[in-house]
Amino acid sequence: MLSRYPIKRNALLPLLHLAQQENGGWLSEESIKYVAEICEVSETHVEGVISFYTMYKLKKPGKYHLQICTCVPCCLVGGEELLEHTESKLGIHAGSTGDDGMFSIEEMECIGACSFAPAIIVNEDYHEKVNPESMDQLIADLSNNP
Amino acid sequence: MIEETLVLFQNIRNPSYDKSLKGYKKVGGFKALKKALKMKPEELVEVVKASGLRGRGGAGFPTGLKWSFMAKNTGKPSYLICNADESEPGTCKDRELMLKDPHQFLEGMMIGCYAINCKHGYIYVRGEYFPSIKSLNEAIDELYAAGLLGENALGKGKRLDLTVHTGAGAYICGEESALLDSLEGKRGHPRVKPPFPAVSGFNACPTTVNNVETLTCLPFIVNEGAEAFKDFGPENNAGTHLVSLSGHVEKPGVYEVRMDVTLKQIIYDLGGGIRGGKALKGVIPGGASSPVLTAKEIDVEYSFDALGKAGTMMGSAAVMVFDEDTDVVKLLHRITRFFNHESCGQCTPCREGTHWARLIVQDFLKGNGNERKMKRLHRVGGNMMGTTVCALGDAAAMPITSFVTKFPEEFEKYYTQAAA
Repeated sequence: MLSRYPIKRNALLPLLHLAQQENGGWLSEESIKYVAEICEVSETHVEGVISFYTMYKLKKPGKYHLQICTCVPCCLVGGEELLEHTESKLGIHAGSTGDDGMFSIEEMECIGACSFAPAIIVNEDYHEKVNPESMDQLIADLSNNP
Repeated sequence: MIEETLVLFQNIRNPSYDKSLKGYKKVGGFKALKKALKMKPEELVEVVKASGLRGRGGAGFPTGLKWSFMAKNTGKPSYLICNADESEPGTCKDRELMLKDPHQFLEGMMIGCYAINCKHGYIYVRGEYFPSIKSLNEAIDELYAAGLLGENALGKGKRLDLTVHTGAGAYICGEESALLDSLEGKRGHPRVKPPFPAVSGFNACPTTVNNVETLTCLPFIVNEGAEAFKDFGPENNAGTHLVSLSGHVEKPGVYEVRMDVTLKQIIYDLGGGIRGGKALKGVIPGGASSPVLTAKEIDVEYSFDALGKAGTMMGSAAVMVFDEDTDVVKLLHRITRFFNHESCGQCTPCREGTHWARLIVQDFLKGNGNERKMKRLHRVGGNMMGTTVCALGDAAAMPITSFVTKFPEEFEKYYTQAAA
């Protein structure tokens, strides 16, 4: 990956993604240290970058990370209700993970699936035109696949 | 009744289209690149200038002109960076191009690289677009395997590389100078301009940043000529463009249209009208940052210039439609929440203004609104306009002032009813 960039620091964002992926969805102190070394920047610089971007996590998310969009187009067609429904269904709030570590919920700003709203991302997969019923079905399917 | 005009979506609308390199070549893919390589880069810049192509990312700046600003003979490499950080609320057109016809876009990108003498182009894709990232990486692998990228991509001994770079969730990185900071491995803070990227961009080298859709127009322009492209749409608004239609319409979707159709035609002819036979209340015509239009104002040509004259903007061509049952104050609250979340925090007017705007709109929802707060919203909006390093301050201000101006009764309802 480093060979694709003129200077090592340029690879910081993709390397953080890679480190996060390999560490089970979050960045530990060791992974931050490791990436800082590879990119030849200070750990403070890396921490500053991490805190700026929403996709880097400092806590382990659930096995299934439900990212529910409630931004303008999704909000117009039931995104907020979908979020509330999912929160009460799983008994957890956006920004937290269930005790069994299966599900976590995150409220998203626009995820770019506006013409197919309401939309959600589960880990890396988009699900579009989701309603409370199809959400229940999805959660049931995922629960059967721990 | 209008219909789509298919140029960029010609392949995508064909149900049997195979998006692999083989499939794309079958429909005439990479002929344009071949033709472009026979021209001098300067000639290519002139063709694009003559075509009247304007950037599709939001600002509508003429692409050929942007290219011609590139600093020459600096002894530094030149860069073409594709802005695929599509994050303006309502916009989902670039993802269609990257996901369903990646090679057409990549051919455009390669033509662009040749025009500005770039040997390594970067595609900055927003991090959440996992399927698009995968689609692009697979397509790029095919191009390397076929020798269309790499050692002799732009002719014997003329190397070209393309790299997909993933963002990590920050709206502001769609602003070109913030995107460059982010690409360099930093927090995405917009830069003070000048110097413009054409002089000092990625790693302080001459850089052009172009949107995905803009670059995807290039194969058609090179193949068919500047005049053919100009023939679509009114003067100064050349070519077809992609409209992301969302909200309360029967048939939301991404549609390709000429720029001489009206907003009303897009909503009623292509979108099938308002969902459930409801009446229209208003339209946000060009992404969350564009000033709102009321139902009476939608019989306007959907082009850069006509929308500008109508006091709003086309932006990224994201049309969000809302019906008579929509609570406009709640809608504005959601928009202010977005900008509050996405302000990078660098400039005080935007960092503080987006925060206070959200709280004031929230006051109305809690029954604590009053006339003074209406005026305060106006003032907070006004204080953000033109006072920040990048356009996010303006983008956050425009919906606030336009909602309060165009739907005052909706805000009044909240405090007169609360008082009663």
